[in-house]
Amino acid sequence: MLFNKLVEVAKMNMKSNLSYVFAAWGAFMSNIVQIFVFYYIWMAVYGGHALLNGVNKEQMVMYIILSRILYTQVTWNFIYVIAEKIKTGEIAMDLLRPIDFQLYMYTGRFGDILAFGVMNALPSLLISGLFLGFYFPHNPISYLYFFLSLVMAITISFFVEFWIGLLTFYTTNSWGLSTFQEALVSFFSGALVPLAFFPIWLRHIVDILPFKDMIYTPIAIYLGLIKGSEVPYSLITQFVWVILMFVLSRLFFKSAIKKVTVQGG
Amino acid sequence: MLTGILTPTSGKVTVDGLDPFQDRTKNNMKIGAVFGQRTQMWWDLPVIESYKLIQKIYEVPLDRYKENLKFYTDYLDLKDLLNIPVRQLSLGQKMRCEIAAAFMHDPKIVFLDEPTIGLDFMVKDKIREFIKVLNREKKVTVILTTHDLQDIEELCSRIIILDNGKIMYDGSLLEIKNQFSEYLIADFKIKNATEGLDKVLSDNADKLFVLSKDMYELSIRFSRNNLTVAGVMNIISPYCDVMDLNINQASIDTIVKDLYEDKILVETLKN
Repeated sequence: MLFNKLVEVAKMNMKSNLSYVFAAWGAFMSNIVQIFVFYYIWMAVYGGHALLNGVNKEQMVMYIILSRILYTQVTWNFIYVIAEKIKTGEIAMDLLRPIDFQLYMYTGRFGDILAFGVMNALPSLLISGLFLGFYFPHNPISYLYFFLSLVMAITISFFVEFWIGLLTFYTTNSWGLSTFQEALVSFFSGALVPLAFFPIWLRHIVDILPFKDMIYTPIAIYLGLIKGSEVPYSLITQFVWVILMFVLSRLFFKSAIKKVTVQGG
Repeated sequence: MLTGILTPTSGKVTVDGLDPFQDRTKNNMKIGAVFGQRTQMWWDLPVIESYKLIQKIYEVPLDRYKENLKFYTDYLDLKDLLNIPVRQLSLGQKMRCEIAAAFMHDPKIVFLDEPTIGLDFMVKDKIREFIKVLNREKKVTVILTTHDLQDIEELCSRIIILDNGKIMYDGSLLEIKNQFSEYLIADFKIKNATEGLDKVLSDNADKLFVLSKDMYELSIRFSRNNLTVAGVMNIISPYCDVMDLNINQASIDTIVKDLYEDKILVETLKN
């Protein structure tokens, strides 16, 4: 029953997103441009080499395409959405729905992502893949692992953004917070540079942070950079982060919600 | 607080046996709400989509939903609005849709926060009529906050007047009107007022209350029990020429206004 309700919420979000076709085109174009820019930079880095730090050229191209697409979702401004709800007092209306607010937002997020998938991710993938080349995993099971890892990546980023967004209850503005979060994510998640290129000492730091599990882990699983017994290990690590972030954001939500001041009457 | 959005700093709130904050989702199933400036509908989607979602998430039986939808659509004249995205609606149109949404799942209690704010006369009237009918026929409890005193006069059976978090009055509308029906308001148009007028008015301050006064106009409130209209005339006529006189019973507007401005009245109310 609850599940059916959530599907409806996701559908509504998807439809809302689909009503902004021009915005979606803009986002799509900027995605394509970014992929090509990253492509040329990395090809310059590779120079005559076919393999750098265990990543070959084909893998690198695919890494760029996937990481650029995923990056737009992981730093999708969800913080801003929450912050806006708090700032305008719209959150009052959401709190009136007979569904838990966090669950409601989480499902809504999947509606957003479906719309994004149709209008942006798939076309970006196809077009840049056709021009720059696709890379497919050797082992079909990798698709399954990739999918699992992807869902968890998005879930982790949801919880992180959710509680950063909630900080708006205390700060009443989110711009600084979201910029800070974006900077952290873009560097530590491997969105700019694959973690395989990081020096060892930095890898150790990155390994204990959750950011790598938002972008690097699913893509590395897809490309086979994480392979064999490392795969279940990575998935479990991701899962632990999901649980941890869930608990943290939940606790924070419970205490923040008591602080609600509905702005604007 | 009654809707579970805010927590009380002290004390306890129960709505139909539930703590609205602790049992938020359960409580939400039973209540509906309209907050004047906000919308629970989906901004980018046609109105009907939001109604469909309400049907699903509030588990309204489909035939019941259809019945409600038809009834509300007819009553509030929504037929042409259902397929328009919410963002394209005018304030009045949106408010009509919003009110229908709040009642769509047959809630036991509906909270309306300034439902008629900024609306034109026709829409206001329609909304009031709608609220009245639902209250009477479906026995929905409606809790209304408003600055529009006509709302109160037409809709409310019990009123609570708040000032700065203190309850100034809590009772039936009839009662407050009865208590005040002894009060009359006399509006004089006057000419050639002399200085004696001020003096005589203040001498009689125990019997009458000056609401406003200038060179040409004088407005006085007095109690039938203390004074007759002729009595008032007798008091002021030696000091000015009365050109015109208009006598009204205190309306709810003026009663409330007086309550806020003139704390002495509050004392009489309490006794």
